[in-house]
Amino acid sequence: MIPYFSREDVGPILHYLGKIIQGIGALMFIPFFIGVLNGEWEPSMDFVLVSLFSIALGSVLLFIFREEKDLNWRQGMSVVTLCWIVVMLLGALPLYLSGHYLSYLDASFEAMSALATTGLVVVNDLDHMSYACNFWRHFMCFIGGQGIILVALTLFVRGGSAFKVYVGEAREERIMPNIIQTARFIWLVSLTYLVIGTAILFAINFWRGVSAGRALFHAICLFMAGWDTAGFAPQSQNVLYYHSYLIDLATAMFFLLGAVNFGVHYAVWTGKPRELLRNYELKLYMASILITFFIVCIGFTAHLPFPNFISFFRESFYQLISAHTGVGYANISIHNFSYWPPLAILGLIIAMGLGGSSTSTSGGIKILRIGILLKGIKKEVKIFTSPGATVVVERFHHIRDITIEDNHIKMAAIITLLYIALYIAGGMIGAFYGYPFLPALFESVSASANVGLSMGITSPFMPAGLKLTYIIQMWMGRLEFFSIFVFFSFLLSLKSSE
Amino acid sequence: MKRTGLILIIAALFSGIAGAAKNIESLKDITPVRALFEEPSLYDGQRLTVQGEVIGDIMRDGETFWINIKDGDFFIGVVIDGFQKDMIRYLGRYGIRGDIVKVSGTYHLHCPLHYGERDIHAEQLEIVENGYKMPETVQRDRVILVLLLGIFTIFILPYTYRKHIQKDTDGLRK
Amino acid sequence: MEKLIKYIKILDRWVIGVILELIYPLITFSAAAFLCFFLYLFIKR
Repeated sequence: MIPYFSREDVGPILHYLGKIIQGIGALMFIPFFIGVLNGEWEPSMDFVLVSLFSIALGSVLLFIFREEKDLNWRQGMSVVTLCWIVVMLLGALPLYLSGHYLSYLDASFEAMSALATTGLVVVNDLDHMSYACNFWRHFMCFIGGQGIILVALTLFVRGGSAFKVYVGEAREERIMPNIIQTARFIWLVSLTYLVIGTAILFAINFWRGVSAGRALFHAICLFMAGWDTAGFAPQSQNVLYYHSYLIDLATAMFFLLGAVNFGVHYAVWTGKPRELLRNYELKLYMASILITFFIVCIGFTAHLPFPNFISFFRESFYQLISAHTGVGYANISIHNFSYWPPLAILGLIIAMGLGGSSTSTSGGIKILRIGILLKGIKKEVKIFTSPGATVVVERFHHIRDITIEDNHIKMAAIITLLYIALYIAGGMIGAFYGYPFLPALFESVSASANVGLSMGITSPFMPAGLKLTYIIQMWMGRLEFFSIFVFFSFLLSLKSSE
Repeated sequence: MKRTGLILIIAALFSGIAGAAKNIESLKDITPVRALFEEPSLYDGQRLTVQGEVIGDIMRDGETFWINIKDGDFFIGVVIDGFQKDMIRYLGRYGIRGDIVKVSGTYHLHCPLHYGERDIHAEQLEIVENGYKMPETVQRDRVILVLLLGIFTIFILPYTYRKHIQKDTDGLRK
Repeated sequence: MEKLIKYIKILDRWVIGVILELIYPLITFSAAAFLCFFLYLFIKR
């Protein structure tokens, strides 16, 4: 019944996993150095411990599983799926050792939240966390956002296998013909904005009197989590900590840019700036932002708690942009939501659920799919209202001119339905644990669409079952379902071949 | 008649004084920061007192400064002046417990001066408890574990890059 | 020399690309601010 997988596939999958685990171990030396630089001996020790453990574990896997087989796409997807879980468990270790997490489950939750660029937190006393550990939290956002697999692509994997692993990573578009080049381009864009973004955020903080070291630390962390639409911040109060409309503005700019399709960045950066005007997804995205913002604002007709326009705009728009791009930064306290009217909250939920652009660091259903569905509806309406023999053709421009086919509509519809099912299921589980439905739905959509805004349900004291639910939702949302289905069919096939 | 009048005046004076005293007293009563979040409109515009640890950084905003006070799991931004800023010595972060301060001032739910921020404009700031550095202890068993793992890794690492068996998608040797 | 010109051209496009891209969030902000302002007036009425 389940074909395609056999025992022989285990070896190559574990071989690649070994390489990735080694890679993560190597990356942990960065927080180690940061710890040493700041005289944080305990955290430094934790990082070197977990780093050596990872490198050793990866080495053992490579020692046992020597087969380096070209992966077919199913194996590629299985590597990706397994990878997320394993890297989550490893990444959680230094967090757990820091003592800022009530349990290993909490540390794993935070690690998955970082890797899946969600941003929901269960950390305790973040304001007294070491630089090393805090850096690692944000760095995991950067790693996850750039795709663990892309890291592997640029460092380890050659030619053929690369594509299969990349597709498993839920980035369907091949921006450039050579997959390695695609990966390197994604890195180039990210590093360019890393430099610009860090410089701007550093300048703002330094000008406000924060010491150079801390200003730099805050800038890098905020950028990594913002650009990768994760939403972690170095302090408990999130972006509210800074009490600065300049920081709000700068971070909002960067997460808007991070939510743009990498293909558009490529076109604009290689002399085709007209893509900015012609790209269907980008135009639809701006329209969607304005429409959901309209819903949020109109929601406040019921009750407007703001004394002036500026406070209204600042609070409502920042949260909306944060929701729609999937970042999850908040320049307000979660308790502010207690005076947000239900329709305004629904506006945020819709924005979160829709998500950002495809092939970007955001989550959610993705605007391109919504666009395809809208075109599909338009096409069907035209077919119904036209004489029998008419051929109806719908097209749009997205990097190149694309004609809508039934296949595109089918895939877009299936993924959209899966996301909606995930959102509702998570909401129902939250309600099962006794939380009111709207906040439960909000939190569920936030987790599945990898946003990270919270109405207060997510906390260290949340039921363990709900923590597990959100971990699974974050994982499924990030990988867009199919690699997970493939992986489970692989596990089942192993069992049935006994 | 005159006596009644005098008694009334004295009574009014006392209640006036009592009222003013109550005002000063209520400023001495510490409002938990939690209450500011649980009853947002109740305290808006009121003068009150909060207490908590100063964490993070002091950030300049024109002529004034922002600090963040941590009271259990709740935080509030406080606007202070240069003189109050100089009183603060320890800022809470890794390895440092910040100064515990008591701040009295007006609380705003959406401060019109600060673009809608939730804040307290400090009129009085008092250091209740000085901050201090927290010592670090590196656990010995972790050091031993690091050394053991280090040796093991150095030993096994060369073997991970021994010649791999190259195969294509069908499992046939290349 | 030719290589240098080629690199300058690439860099030039790169810089222009970044600048152009930064315009799109600004447009989004402005549009949203207008929308919010009108809705604020409408709600306050």
